[in-house]
Amino acid sequence: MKKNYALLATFVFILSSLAGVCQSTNSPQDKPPAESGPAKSSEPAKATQPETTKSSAETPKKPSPPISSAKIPSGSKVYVAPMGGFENYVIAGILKKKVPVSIVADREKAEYEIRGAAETEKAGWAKMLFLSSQNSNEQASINVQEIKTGNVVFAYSVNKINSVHGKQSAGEAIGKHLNEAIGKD
Amino acid sequence: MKFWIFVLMAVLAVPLFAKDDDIAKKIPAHSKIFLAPMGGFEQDLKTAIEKKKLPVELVPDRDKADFEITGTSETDKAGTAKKVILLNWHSNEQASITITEIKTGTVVYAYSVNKQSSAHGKRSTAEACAKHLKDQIASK
Repeated sequence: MKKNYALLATFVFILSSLAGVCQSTNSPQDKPPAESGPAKSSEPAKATQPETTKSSAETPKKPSPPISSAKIPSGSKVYVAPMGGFENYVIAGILKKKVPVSIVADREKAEYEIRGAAETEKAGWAKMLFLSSQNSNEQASINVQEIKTGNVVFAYSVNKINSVHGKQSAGEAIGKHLNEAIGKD
Repeated sequence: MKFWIFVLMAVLAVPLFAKDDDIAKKIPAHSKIFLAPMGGFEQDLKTAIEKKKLPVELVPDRDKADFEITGTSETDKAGTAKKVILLNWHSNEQASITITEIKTGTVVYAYSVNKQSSAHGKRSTAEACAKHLKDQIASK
């Protein structure tokens, strides 16, 4: 009889540990966006609810897409809009960082759209002479918009000084931080 | 004994609930691939695909293809400063390719490469793309 109780206890322990493992895999995205702290220049600019202050309500402003703190569901179909060739680096970065989304080439089939811009500043002669560096400075910025509602759900900007891999570095940084914005099941 | 079998089955069933993290889908061997214009880089890529003996068929018509390769390539030629100060004549190259399944419109693979002072210019980046693409193609 005691042996049976011991076996039952072992079984319950295994199940509880398995449940713990499942919970721990879900824990990172259970964190509210507010916990991630203030966004630095090279950190994701987490979308937050706009504050409706009295002064902003009085002054008429240009209509801009609403900002939402909703997470992007895992497995969402994402369309990457043309960014002068940089879209290819963003797609490569997303796939390299294994972001759990499906990239589609057709905007009609997508749920989210990534828009953005990228700039490259090549090393000048002074940089080569004084720093002996020929690496470029890269900066890029993207925003993820829900096509159905038009809400911006994620935005991120990156600035890489002396980027060893040029646009590839910027694309991978975007993929890495986008991964954190995806709500895993 | 039955109890332990039940426990074993429960443990073995756990991987069934695990998420599949493999985002990039494998490209079947002998697939028909169309190379979209990339400002001349498609020629280098075509040569590299043939050189690396990728088990795919390149077709000139997009309608006959299963997959499409799109991308971009940039060359930063060595300026006077680089030649004089760094004594380096080689160009910096960067390229990025995306492979889309035409039927579904889904991106199945993407790769980007950056080569500083590339010894063979665009040829180097094209061969890097082809080399990594080969790993993504299912052998059978």
